Amino acid sequence: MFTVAVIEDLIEIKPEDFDLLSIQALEDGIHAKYADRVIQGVGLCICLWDLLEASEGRIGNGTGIAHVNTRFRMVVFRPFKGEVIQGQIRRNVKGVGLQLSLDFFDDIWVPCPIGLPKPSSFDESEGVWMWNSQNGDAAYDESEQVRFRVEREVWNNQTLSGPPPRSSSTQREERRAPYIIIASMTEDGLGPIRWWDEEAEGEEGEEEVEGVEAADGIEVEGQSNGF
Amino acid sequence: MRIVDTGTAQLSNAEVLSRIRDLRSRWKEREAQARERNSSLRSRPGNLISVIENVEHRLTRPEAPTPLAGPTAYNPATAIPMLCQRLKPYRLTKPELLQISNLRPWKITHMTLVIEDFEARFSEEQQREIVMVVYEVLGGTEYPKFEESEEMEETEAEQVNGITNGVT
Repeated sequence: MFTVAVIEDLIEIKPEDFDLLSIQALEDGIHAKYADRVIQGVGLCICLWDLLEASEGRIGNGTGIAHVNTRFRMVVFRPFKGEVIQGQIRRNVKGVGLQLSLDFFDDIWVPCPIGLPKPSSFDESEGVWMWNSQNGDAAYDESEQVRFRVEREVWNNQTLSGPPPRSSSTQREERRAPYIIIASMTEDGLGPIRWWDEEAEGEEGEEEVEGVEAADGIEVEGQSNGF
Repeated sequence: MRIVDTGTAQLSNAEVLSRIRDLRSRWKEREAQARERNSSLRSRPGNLISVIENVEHRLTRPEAPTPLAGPTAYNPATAIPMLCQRLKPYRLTKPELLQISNLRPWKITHMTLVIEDFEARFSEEQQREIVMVVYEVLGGTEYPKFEESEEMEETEAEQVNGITNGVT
């Protein structure tokens, strides 16, 4: 799930923070700027891992702010392709799929029905996706804990390249999340954790397992090459 | 801002969790000190606190089976090196070992998800050995159970134990 990225940046220390230890002031500066922020092509920054290098501070003209060149390692959330992660279902969206959440990151989508075991469909009355397995329908209820596999990532650069066109006030495009993970839950063992882990208590689960195998064989090849 | 390395080194969930706990306890200390001196803590980074709280919550949620919290949590400092050593003969790749330590799979079905070509690369006996090594080193709430139950009788008792304290 997590990696370390090496970043170089100029960090500001305000005069009122001069009484702190320099390393503490730098850590605070880095956190203020990076924590909980997505960097394109890198991932979602969580917190500082360690500080590798820092230059002498240079005092800016007029403000008294010290500028320090730093090189540091950041803990970044960026799962690799093919990784299996536990999360929970955030919401069901008709015609789109399931949105999953990891508490600190919510832009994970399972496109349905292709991301679910076959056959699956959307249940209009309940407003949830269902796996129509041989043993009956099973719903992907909200806030259910699930396992999913990371399939690919989508980056949306949000920096503006120029002023927005005039007409945009009428048909404004929805702001897209800067980093989106596309996931799948087709294989055995993926999807709601309850389905797969509770079978130890009874024999019911056994048959269910066999039911998916046929549909599953096609998908697996493409998915497991992320390692 | 210049990205020197976009992140080639992976961190395990256990490493991230220990880093976050360390950061949080240091913030608590600083807040206590500030209170003593009666000065308010300047620049409390709300973004940092909320993101690390949420990461910690995710990694230790009781309703999701997590190997990092609860009565069956393993000690990463000793368990992870031990895991790598005991699984060495099976020549698993780093991402495979990483996922094993993050998810603690305890069934062949789960192992198949995190180890590429699990069923083709390993004989049935080896597959069971791997599941058993993971259980022995990382612990778990359930005693591993295999499909044809030719298991020894002594395991039955353990299974019952496993299930009772495993319902978390």
